[in-house]
Amino acid sequence: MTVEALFHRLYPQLFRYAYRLTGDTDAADDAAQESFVRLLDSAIPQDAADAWLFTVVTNLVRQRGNTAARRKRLLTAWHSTPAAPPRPDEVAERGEQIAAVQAALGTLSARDRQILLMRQEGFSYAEIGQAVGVAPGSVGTLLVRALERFAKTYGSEEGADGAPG
Amino acid sequence: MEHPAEGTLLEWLDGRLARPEHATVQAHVAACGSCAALADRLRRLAAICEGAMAALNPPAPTEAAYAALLRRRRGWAAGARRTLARAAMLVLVVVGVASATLPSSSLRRWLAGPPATHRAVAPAPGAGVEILALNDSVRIVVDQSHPDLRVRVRVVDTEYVDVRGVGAAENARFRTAPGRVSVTATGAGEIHVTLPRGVRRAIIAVGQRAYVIKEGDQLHVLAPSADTAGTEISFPTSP
Repeated sequence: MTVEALFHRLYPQLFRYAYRLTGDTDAADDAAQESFVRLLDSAIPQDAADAWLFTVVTNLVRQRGNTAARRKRLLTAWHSTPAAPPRPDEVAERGEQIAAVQAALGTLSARDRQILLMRQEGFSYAEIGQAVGVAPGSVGTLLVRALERFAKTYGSEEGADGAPG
Repeated sequence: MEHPAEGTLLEWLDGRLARPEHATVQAHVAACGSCAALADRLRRLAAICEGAMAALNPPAPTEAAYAALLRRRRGWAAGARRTLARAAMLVLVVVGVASATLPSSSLRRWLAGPPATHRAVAPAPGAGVEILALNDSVRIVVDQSHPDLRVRVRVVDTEYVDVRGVGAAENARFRTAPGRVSVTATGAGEIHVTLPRGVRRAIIAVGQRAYVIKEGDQLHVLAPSADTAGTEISFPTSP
């Protein structure tokens, strides 16, 4: 597979993953591009590139830090003062949903956020375990706990204990 | 009856269990009311997460990002060529005009045009690549998938680092970057590496493990079962 084909296949996933980690499209683009720059400088075989790229993106996001602060700025900007211009209803509703998801993700530990998002991207439990440094047999339990915490914070019908939330 | 752990149930719901285990868990859930209820709960949690994540799915600027990546790589290669051209100019001043009259001198080749940082040898069976070292350093990484693949290294008075597949390794694939060559060989045969004597530092690795390190005039052979004959080193990629 050519570099171009690999990029077109993986960049959208990396971008989406990084956006979900950071809440910032510019930061997501930077991290996804930088991961490819590093791949081109490495000797990583193509069949190992997927998990490696996601690990690099995770590390880049972590290094650049400020994700919580950035998300807070996004949330603060959303809950703007009454002087802000009014938005169309559907844009406002979508913005609230994005803010709610970001807030729910923000309550998870960095590891839980990463395993949840890697699961969303279709990685095997073995790959997720290798990426976060836990035994593959532990990933399922960690995912269940992360899903419970996410659902409870997101304000779904069902909390972690199964009771209405 | 042994109930699967909730993590295993989630893995089953995600379709990521190996087939035999998947069938076992599926049969158990079909027969066990409590596990079926737990599976339903996990299914609902997963659906909540799926629905929420759908909101965090902005369109990816793939084409713009790829164009930016290409611009970035071209800028890097151009910078490396400028650095090498300045170094070649310095050599010309030291050696003098007389060197330029020698038909086979490297300086005369440089005067003919700026050197490329790397070039592919004309396509032929056993083709390889040649690159220039970057900052007097080069790294060659061999990814082998055949236990009988060998590497042969020699140090000569040359300008370019030459890496090629020979014999059954003639279909090896090469990937180059400034100062770096990656080789993927799926057959037996040999990978021939020619290092310039003037390279200050060179590493020849198989996978993540360094087998030969050149530091200045010193050559450190770390490969097990290496054969040294004259100026050549030969070693298997599998101990």
